[in-house]
Amino acid sequence: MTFLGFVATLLALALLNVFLFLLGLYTTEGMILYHAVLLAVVSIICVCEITIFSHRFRTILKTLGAINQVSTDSQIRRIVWITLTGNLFFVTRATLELAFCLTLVFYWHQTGTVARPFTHLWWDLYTGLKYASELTIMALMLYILQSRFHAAASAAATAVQQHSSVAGARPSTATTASRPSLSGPAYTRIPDVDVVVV
Amino acid sequence: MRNQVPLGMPYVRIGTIQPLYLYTVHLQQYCITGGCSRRRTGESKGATMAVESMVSSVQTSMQSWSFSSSLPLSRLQRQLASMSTDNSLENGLSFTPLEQSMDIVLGIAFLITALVAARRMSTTLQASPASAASSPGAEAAVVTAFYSLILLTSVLRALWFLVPAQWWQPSYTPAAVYAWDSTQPSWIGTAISEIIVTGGSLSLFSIFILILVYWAGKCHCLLFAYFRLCKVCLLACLLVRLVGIAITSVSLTSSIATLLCSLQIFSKNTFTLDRDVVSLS
Repeated sequence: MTFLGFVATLLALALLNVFLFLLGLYTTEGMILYHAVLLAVVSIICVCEITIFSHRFRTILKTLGAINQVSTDSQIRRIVWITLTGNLFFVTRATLELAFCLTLVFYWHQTGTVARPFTHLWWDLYTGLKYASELTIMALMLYILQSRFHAAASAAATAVQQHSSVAGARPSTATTASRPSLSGPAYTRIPDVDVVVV
Repeated sequence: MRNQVPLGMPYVRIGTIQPLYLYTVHLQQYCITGGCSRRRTGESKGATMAVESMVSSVQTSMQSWSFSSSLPLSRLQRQLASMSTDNSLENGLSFTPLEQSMDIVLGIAFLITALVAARRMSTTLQASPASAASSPGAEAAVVTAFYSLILLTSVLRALWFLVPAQWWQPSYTPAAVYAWDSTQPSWIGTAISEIIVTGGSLSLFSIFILILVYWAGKCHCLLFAYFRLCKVCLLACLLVRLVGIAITSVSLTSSIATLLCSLQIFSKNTFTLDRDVVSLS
């Protein structure tokens, strides 16, 4: 399934939530509960998938870097950071959402209603942690990717300069100059070793 | 009956003269005519406290601007103070200063994140034609999508935090309200608030889904290249083995031929011997 497929599925589930609310099947509390359950499940799935794919990606990068004799340390470090921060965020989020769900369910079990389950202290804590973790993860993502895009921008600028200096003569020189030179025998050139690790 | 504060209740902004005066008139009308009689029953004391805090803010602001209309306000404040028998915030119908300051701080932080993401996105869009030759277009699209999702999340969150919480719903803590409930018109604000929160969460989770899908695609690509490499290795191994087999078979054939030749010579001699034996006998 592609990225758009996953997002469309999530969007459809969210729209179903709004639709069920508008049908009057549950209250706004029910809508928040549905949302919390959905996000808790997605968070747990994301933790598993990020861990698995990160491990695979690092293994492949290490292997191909060794074969082509190019350094993939910066990419691997970036993957490790993204994995670490992503997993921390999703674990926090899943814990918060599950705590929210359990509180709501226990309150409903005890009182038979969900009219007023949260105190200001509880809700402030929940809101603060939830959105502070979101803010932290986004700031960290921007920070982690800063070095990569600085490098890309400087490489692009260098490429443009070289391209303009040899304009028309050898158009392919500018593109190959920015790539790391391979030293030593490489059995097969793996073109995607220096990939953009988002 | 929790939603006694109307959805369009004015949000106090200290420092603006004309709206404050209008709000004062509105509050006087609201509390003296309709609202007070309901609040005396004690159904929503938190709303009373919210109104009281608004009046206090209005009075403070007006005094700072040297208005001379403090008499009706103090009367109104006394009236409201007599009505508010319980000032506890546990009613869930008010907004604490901590919540309001937390909203402002988080809203500004999300706004800054949105600005940074927008700046990065514009940089990426400007740099992508130059680096199009060195990096494939798909990667530039992924990077742009990545920053767009961060921007969308930040904008939605900043919108949700910086719009005063009173505009969304009558209480900061969630309230159970059914849709299309005419007695509780605040369901519209609550639903819109929840839709904005859901949209922000979806776009935030989409960032990681994008990373996962991108990683999966790259793993597939790199594995494909790796298998291609393995295929070359496999062909080489196969060739070596074939050569080995061929050499072995050639040597085996020559050995067999030698053996057969020797056997033939031996049998010829034997026959000769037999013939000699027969002739002798």
